[in-house]
Amino acid sequence: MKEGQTLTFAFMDPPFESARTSTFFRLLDAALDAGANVNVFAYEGAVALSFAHQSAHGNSIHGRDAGEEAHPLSREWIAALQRKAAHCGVQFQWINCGLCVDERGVNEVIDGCGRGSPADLWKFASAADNTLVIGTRD
Amino acid sequence: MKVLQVIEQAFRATGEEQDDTIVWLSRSMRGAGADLHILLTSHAVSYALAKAGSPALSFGDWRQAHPADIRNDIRELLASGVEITVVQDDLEERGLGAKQCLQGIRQICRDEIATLYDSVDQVWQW
Amino acid sequence: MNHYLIIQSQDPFTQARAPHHYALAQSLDRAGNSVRLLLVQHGVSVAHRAASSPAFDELLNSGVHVFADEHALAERNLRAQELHANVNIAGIEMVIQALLSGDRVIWH
Repeated sequence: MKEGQTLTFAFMDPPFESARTSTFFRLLDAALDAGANVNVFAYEGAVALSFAHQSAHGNSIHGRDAGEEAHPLSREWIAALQRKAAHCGVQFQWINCGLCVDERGVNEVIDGCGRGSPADLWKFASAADNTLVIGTRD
Repeated sequence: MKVLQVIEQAFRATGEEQDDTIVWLSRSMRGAGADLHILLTSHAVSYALAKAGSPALSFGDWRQAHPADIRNDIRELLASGVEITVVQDDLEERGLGAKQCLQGIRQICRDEIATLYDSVDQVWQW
Repeated sequence: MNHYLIIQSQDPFTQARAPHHYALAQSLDRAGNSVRLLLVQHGVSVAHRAASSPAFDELLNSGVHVFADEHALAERNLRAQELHANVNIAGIEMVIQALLSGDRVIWH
């Protein structure tokens, strides 16, 4: 890749609902592996991915308490990617659609995730080398 | 940069949002200067035929004040300079081929989609 | 000539749009473009050589190069020797390389 390339992703799905979510995070991880700067615009349910109060739980069916279960949380995935980007020396920007946040009541997000509007998606896309939109599906 | 917004889903959250979320996003981005062309496919071809607002929802003593008005949103997009194209084959397979599309919407057949894709800088499939 | 990578998450057994997506890939190919299609998620379910989908068979016999995500195959316990001969296994980094190369990458 050329030095300092940037990719923008738009994503719409909430956590714990669709296989698209884990595919999306695999893509973000691979983008950082490739040395790319990453921009994310989270729209609709995807704004809950960074919700700070996501809470891990035990699972009696699995026979594991909360510590043993180590339940995946998308806010921790985002934080892990933020740390990876810092380690790799690339940028990792995350903007949530603010109106989508308000209507879902997920205003408290982890550090490093901001609030914006579709204008930010356009700014991200205009400045990036390429953009991938992952739309939701019924 | 010209972006083709391919809208395939429709009536997905129109009850809660009082609009189509991708049509709304397109209007918002257009306001920020985005150069857009919209392609209505699959379920979204119904938007090319929109005649009136959606029926208002009511639950108990709650009644919706402003149900979605897709026709108005499509007209506003057209008025703002966004080209809108609909796939004729998708209309026909739903028995809607003889209906009149909103003024200003262009119809193409599936074989012409590749040419449309090649005419823009990016294709965003919603 | 443009370069396209279509990410195909939908399958032809439960989602009627999938054959249209295969046809679009072939249409882009016929228009003189370089077209690759990566099966992901349920999209890989059609990759088994005994799977029955005339639309996918047509795609495999076209100029479109077809790949399947190794993660989705492993989830479904689909092994390389069980796949159609024209389906190649790929990692998700294929998408990133395409984006960085300026390909038009489209999610279905």
